[in-house]
Amino acid sequence: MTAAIAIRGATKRFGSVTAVDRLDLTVPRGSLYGFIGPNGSGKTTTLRMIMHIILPDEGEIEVLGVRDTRAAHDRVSYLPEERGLYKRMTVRRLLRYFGSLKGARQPDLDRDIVHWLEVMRLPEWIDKRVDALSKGMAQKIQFIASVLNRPELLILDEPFSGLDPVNAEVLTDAVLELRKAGTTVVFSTHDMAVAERLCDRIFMIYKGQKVLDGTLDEIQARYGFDTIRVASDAGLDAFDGLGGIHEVHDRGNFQEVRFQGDPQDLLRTLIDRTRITRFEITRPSLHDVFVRIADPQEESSLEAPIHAA
Amino acid sequence: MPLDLHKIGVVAGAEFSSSVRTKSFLISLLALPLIMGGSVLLQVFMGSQVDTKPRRFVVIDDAQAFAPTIAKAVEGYNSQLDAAGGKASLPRFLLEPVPTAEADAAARALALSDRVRKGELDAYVEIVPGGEGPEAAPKIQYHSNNPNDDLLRRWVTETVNAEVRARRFRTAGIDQAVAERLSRPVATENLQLAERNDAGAVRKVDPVRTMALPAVLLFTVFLVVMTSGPQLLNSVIEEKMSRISEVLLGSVSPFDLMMGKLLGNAGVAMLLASLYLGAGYGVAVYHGYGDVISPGLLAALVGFLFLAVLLYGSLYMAIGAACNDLKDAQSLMWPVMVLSMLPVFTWTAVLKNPASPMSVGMSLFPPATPFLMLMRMAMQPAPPAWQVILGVVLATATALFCVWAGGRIFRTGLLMQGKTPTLTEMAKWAVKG
Repeated sequence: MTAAIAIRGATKRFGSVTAVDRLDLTVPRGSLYGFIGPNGSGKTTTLRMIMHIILPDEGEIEVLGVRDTRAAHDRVSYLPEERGLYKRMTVRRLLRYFGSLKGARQPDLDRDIVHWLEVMRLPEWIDKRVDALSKGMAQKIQFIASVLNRPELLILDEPFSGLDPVNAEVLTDAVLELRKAGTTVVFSTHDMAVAERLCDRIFMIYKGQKVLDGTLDEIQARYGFDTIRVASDAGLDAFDGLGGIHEVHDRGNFQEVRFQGDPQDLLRTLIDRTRITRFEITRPSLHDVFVRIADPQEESSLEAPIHAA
Repeated sequence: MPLDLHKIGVVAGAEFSSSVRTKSFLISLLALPLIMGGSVLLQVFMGSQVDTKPRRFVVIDDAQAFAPTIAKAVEGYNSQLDAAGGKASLPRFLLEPVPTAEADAAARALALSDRVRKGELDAYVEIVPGGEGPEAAPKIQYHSNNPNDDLLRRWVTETVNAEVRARRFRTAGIDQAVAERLSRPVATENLQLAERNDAGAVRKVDPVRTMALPAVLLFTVFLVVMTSGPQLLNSVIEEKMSRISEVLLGSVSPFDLMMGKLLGNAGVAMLLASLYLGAGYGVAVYHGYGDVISPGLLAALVGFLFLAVLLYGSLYMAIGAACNDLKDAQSLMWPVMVLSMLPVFTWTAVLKNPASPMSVGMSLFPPATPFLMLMRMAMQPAPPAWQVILGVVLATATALFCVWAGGRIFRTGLLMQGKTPTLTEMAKWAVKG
């Protein structure tokens, strides 16, 4: 079976800026793929290229095994980051319009509208005008609009941004439910915790280039077990003047350090200095990996140890 | 690129039903004819309004050649006004006595001018004698500070001229009544050409058919284009401003989207037009002109109306695609406005000489074709078939090009936020995509 998305050597330039640079990416069918990366790193450009809204200058993109993405449009849904609704339409008319634009046919369409409004806990809003909805409600309606055609591939650009925890949970459940039914889901997010929790695979793009691609385990393995959590009586002072320490983050009850070398040596040194109550070798969180890649200031500070707050 | 007719239909249906549902549709349906009709009525009303304040004036006629005649005519004029009774529609004339104080002509003119400036007088008239005999031509010098009010000036001119004419006839020994009867003008009848099957018949040229009908057709198309085109601009801008465009582009190709919107809008325009024309036809039937529009001409009207809506709709849409808000749109709209005004500026020339090179050229210029070719088809001589076909082909090609370019500008404009493109940039997007 072909991959849901296969990108080979895709490059997109806007004037002198290279937004996406020779990108290769394969999204297997049925997976839940998270796209992460700082603002302006090329996430949205990549998603737009997958949707054929903009065309790559070089390379090729195959979606559901079809080279010309437009042919696959009705099987692919896209919820852009810049998403709006017709304010003067009722929810029912709006969803019917967006649904039929995506190729959904009656009577399934009306049935799906009712079903999804119930899933999103908005059934009583069906005949209300869109401008009466709150921002969170509108966002859920936008999500419904993108699933009415029962897509095989669902692409969501920042689907959770701006939602309160309850609504984010409702949306998360809906995404997981779709995926259980076999839908391939790709979404971009700034929320590393969400990506860590939901995604099978994570893709990170930075300055137009792929910097991470794999399962969470693979990524964490690659970035090593160099983060050590220490709780001691001396607190932050325990690390004063120690060699091999890259960063010290004070997390309150414990400190998080990155140490180059054998953690056993560090433990020995620390025991000599103070009373240790906790010493834990951890995997870096996705957040840490992200910051390490994307924050050049952090990068330069690697040279000299800093007691960061 | 295959067209997705189903999606075009979905977009067109949504565009149609949301335009017809709005209040602004109802308003525009009523407002344009009201404004047009109102401004015509206002002009007629204002034109018939005459300032009925009495006109006071002085006649200086040192030779007393015409002063008595004028004085008598003033009396006659005023008594005629009084006889008409009721509300006066014309001002009375008051002949003021000639001041005798100044002997010097220049000083007298100055004194009279000052009185006009103060508002005591409306004008003063000097009559300069022009000798004796049948060739005598006295001069009438009319002084006032309101040269555009020609009521009094015309009346004085006519009065003096009538008197001069009578005197000339008398001097030459001719009976004026005979002379006037003999110089009665002969009228020309404005007739149509003879037809093969009815060679003997004489048919008068009916100004309603030769002038009014072409004009009505032209202005109907103009009215509908002016009402429906900007709606499309608004609809595209709404989609850009409420950030719906990217959602739409994830579902339909830009060309299909533009085409669907255009067809939906054309549907609204045709609805408007059939309402306007239905009303107009009702009026025509009432006045006995039920046969004024032939089935062929009606078909041409529908066809060209559709073409005009497509053409201008696509232009407005391309502009909407390039703008981020209505303010941008206003400044980019003027070229299209000027294009749609072009037929309004040139239609009288085309009416007079429908087959002149200028008229033919204008009616083949795509943005003017739907207006002027239609008008020419309603007139004699009718344009040859090749011109009609060429016009339709050119206008259709232009409309399709605009839809295509508009779609590309729409897609590219989506990525350009916060900056209004210049016309050159828009052209570049259309070409490069």
